[in-house]
Amino acid sequence: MPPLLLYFTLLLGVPGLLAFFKIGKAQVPGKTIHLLRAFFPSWRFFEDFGEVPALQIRMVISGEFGPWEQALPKTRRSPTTLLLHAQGNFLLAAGSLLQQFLSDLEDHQDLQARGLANGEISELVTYQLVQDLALDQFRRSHPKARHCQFKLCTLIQDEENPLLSRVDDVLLSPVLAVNS
Amino acid sequence: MNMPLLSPFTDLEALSWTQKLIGVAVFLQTIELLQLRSKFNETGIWKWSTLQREFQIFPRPVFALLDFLLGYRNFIAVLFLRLIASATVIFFPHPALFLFLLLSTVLISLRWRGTFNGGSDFMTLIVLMGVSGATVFREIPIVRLACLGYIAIQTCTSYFIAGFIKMKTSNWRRGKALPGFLNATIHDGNPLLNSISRNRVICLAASWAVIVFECGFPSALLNPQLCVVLIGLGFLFHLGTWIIFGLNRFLFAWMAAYPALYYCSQLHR
Repeated sequence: MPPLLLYFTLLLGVPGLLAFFKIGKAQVPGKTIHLLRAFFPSWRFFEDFGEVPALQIRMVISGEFGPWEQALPKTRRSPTTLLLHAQGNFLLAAGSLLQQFLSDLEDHQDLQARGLANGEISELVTYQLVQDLALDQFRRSHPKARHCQFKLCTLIQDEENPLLSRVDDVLLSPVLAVNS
Repeated sequence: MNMPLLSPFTDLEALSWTQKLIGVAVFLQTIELLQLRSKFNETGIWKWSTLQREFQIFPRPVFALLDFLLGYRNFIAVLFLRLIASATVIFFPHPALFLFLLLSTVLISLRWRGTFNGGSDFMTLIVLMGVSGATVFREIPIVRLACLGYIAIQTCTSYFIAGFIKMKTSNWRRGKALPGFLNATIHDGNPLLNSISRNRVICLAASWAVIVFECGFPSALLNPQLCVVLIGLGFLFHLGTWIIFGLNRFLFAWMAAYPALYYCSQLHR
């Protein structure tokens, strides 16, 4: 079967040769790779459930805190979303942003532990994006409120019962002023 | 033009179908981005003023060019031009238009710090790279073959790696990963999906069906009949991921890659 043989030779042979000659060890700045990662397709879809980040927001009135709410409410299924699903794709992009933020937080804590951290968490680009995401969602759900707070938490799937998950708080923001 | 499902398919026919289908995919993706413009303007979330400092890692002229193109107003202009170009290539597949679609797709990926929608952006870029090369060098048969082959190989790889990774993951092999994903979608709960996710036997069977389908997908290159069957299953698979997970873009991006795959499946005849 020449085409299939050629296919698997390319699939397994090229990474093998790269590893053998250590071509993959060339020093390329991580941030550049991150920004250009569309050129390096990762086909690892739905790899494992693991930790799923979630964003919660709450209203703050005169120092009193309201109940926590999901910042990214689920959307309804509809046949028209086959062609255009802007809200769904926004939620997917927001979920991906939360994953990146979680990863940046872990990197930041790692650097902090080694005394190499440069600046505060609030200076991270992903922190600022998540803060704007929280404020944007809060303004939509509470148009008249003036102050809010957000937190990042993770849902961790139970090993024995996959339908149950534990919620861990990861980061709590200061109280933020909401500009209309 | 008829889509000759089980009859010989020339490289020019494959290229023509790929051009039309990727045009449709990019057109729909661009409308969605324009619908989301309030999310990336200067009062939204993905503000250029927040993002631009990450781009200072590029050489100064590159940064200046990106700063010019990715600011809100100019980026909206890029999106409108992309909308027009993608609609045009469906009927007039001019090489310059494909090069512009390729460039604008790279700009969109950069604007979202790597990708906007992960896998569908990867596949859109792969198809656009292949189709741009084949359209620019349309008169050179070996280049057309190489470009269509590149799309076909990446398509098979996309399924094979996804399946192989799942097969290596114990939670997938035991049918425990699927219920977790089914309960963490962007959609409201659905009684049918809820009952499926509670049934261990169905979850185990569905998990292995996905693993076998994805790992077996490269066999599409063996012969055209098998390729048609796998393309049909692939279509149903992406329809399912749209219904369950809301991944509508994946369906159109992968559909655009199928003509190249079908053409390559008949090469060894």
